[in-house]
Amino acid sequence: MVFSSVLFVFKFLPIALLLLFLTPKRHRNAVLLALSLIFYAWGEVKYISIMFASIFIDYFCSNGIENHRDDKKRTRVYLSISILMNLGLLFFFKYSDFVIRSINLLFQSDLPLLNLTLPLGISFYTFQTMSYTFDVYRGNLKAERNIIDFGAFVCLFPQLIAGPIVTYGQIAKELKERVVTWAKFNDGVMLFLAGLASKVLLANNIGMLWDDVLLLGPQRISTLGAWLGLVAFGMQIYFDFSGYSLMAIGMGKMMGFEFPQNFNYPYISKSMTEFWSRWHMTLGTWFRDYVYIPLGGNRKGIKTQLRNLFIVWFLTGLWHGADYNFVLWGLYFFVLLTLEKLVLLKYFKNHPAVARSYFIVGILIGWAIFAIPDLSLLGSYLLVLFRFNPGLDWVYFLRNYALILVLCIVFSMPIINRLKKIRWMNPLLNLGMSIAFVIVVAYLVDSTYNPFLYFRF
Amino acid sequence: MKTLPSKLFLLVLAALFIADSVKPVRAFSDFEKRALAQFPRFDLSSLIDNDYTKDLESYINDQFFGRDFWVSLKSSIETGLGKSENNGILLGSDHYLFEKNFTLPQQAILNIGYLKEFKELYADFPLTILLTPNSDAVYSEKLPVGTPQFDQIAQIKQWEDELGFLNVSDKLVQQKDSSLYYLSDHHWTLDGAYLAYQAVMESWGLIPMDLDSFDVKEVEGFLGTYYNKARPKDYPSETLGYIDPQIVSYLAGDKIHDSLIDKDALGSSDKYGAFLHGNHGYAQIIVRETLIPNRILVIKDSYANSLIPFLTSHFDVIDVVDLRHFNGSLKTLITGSDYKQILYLQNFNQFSLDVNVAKLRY
Repeated sequence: MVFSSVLFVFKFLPIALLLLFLTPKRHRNAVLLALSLIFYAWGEVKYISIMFASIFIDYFCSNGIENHRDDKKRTRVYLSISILMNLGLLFFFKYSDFVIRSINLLFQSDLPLLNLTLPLGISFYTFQTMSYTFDVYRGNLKAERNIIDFGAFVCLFPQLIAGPIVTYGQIAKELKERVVTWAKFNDGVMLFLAGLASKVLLANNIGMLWDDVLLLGPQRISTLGAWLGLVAFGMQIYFDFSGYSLMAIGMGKMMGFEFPQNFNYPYISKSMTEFWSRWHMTLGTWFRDYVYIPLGGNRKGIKTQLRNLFIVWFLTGLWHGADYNFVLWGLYFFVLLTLEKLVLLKYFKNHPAVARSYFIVGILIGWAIFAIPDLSLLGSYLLVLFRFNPGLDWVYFLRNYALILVLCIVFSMPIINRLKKIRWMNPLLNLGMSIAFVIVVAYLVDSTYNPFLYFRF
Repeated sequence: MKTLPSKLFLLVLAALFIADSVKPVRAFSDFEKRALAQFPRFDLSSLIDNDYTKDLESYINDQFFGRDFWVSLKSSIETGLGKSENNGILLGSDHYLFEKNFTLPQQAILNIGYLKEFKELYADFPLTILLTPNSDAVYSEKLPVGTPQFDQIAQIKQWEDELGFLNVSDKLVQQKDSSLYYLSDHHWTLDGAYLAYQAVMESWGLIPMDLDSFDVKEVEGFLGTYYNKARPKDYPSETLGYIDPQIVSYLAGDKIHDSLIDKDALGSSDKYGAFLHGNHGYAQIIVRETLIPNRILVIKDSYANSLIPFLTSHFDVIDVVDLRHFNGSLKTLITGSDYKQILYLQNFNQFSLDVNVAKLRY
């Protein structure tokens, strides 16, 4: 089930809220688990078994570790089982076709593909359960004894399919005891509506521009059109992804959870380093805490640090999709971030305009690599960007998308946040949100275009 | 006061939930001119194949409380944004509406293969193939500025040269001053159909009848499919011209009519559907009773429906096959009858998406 649908907003959500508030506190997690399972099973009924497997494996392993604290060897076995099973699931469903295609390419063989549908959110929840068992192993957490509570954590529907990545430690307390006040509930509703409007009004509408550009392809698109297309894609993925996170955080608040922030106006950055501290923050934190630092981080000299960064960015790329362009995308950031660390950042300090231009061009090229999996197509697209190709398609695109583009640019800057601090602006902002919600409903009901971007994650 | 927004939100959710639960279920939307999804019947296999949840979701969307209001709100916003398209329809100048097509669909490549095979298979038969352009290609100057629309005419020309199709695009472009296509619909007008009829006749060495010699009748208030999809504001309706030639009988599906024109449809909102009483897999027009009838087979889409009445002046029996609804064998039909001419006619957009062209092989 996706959030941006009539089904979710007007059927699932009201029923879920009602049930949760009617249920006595001690049974709430059971209801939450049941709701989450229905939510998960909606799109792919069969895959509910993977969810059960995920819950049981990590419940079993973490409790095994907890029960045999003194037996180092045994705890290590339990940890290995958890990591193997989680990575195994992720690898099998997400990467097996990628490996088969690579083998076919390398050896000119003709092994058949498995063509599996990627289970919704598998990259998110395998990471969450894996890090949970790892934390229990390290002694940072006590294993959860109640399998219902644990199950509710693993498939918590607000953040199940597109993050933010929530570690067990962050919500352990709230799993046992949540308090919902009207003030908190109100914050939650506002965040949810903001996220829904981001996705339905901004991301979906600007996304159509990118789809048109891609349809024309590098042979027919003009240079200006090609740049416009990348701006559009950058805005689409930002408002889509951050919109989903906002909806998740908002619904979390409505139920009494505090999920971590996931986006912090990434497009106002002046370097890639800054961008990655503002974009999908929970993924960056996860890789830092569970890959980079365990590998030694920056404590073992520059050579090891560079190796660790390389590993992290290779994996970050691959996490976003099982294809070469995603690996390329990760390594692209490895190169830029390394350059920044070694020389550029010092220079940028005194040249903010240069830094800003570098960031904008750099991020757009990054999005081209991200959005075009076909490498030869990607090559010709990058050529069009820098070799002038005349054409009037950009007139058509501007006519249709200029207004939405301006809205996207405005909302990608912290303007609303500033307005909120002005007391008399608040009723106006609330009015604006109400109007936006009415329009959202119209676009949800007549939804000819409502793509789901995370089918590769 | 500070928590008013969320209380209002809950109220709206509850109100809509209740309203949506008690409102009546509609079978058809007059507003959108389409059948609405109905409550799906549950069975285990459709649940496991994910069809049940999908169908349930379409049902919820299609039957949502106040759907017509929401749909028209969206279209007002789209036009209000100054957009030159809505729901895949381009808003051209002078009220021209066009279908948005930026590329050639993959299906077109397959279909050209089927046509080629078909042509080779019936090389000994008098076969004429005609792909007509759509309005956006003939009236390309009316497209919104800079629209990177796919160039149909160049594509058709290339296919004509390679496969020996009959050219009609040139004629249409030359004479585009007389409205050859509807502004609000995906079909051509009677004038457009007449030009194509002329081209076909000339290619067969026959003399086409003058348009004046037919008794052209008109009906007002026509708004076509493009209009229904895009819903532009303050849009003028059009006049639909037709001819209703004398025939003996017209067998369409399991009904026999004495006219090629469905008079009831002329009064409805689907006026173009009056031609040949709509589309049928196989239909037969007996124009006149003769001992050795002069027979023609037309394999076609709805573009031919307004052209076929002109053919009654030249043929005694007209067999009409629409591959979209046809489940018989073309081979049996063609080899079993003595056709003087076989005409294949489709418009470009339909041809490039039609999965039924594959039926030419059977």
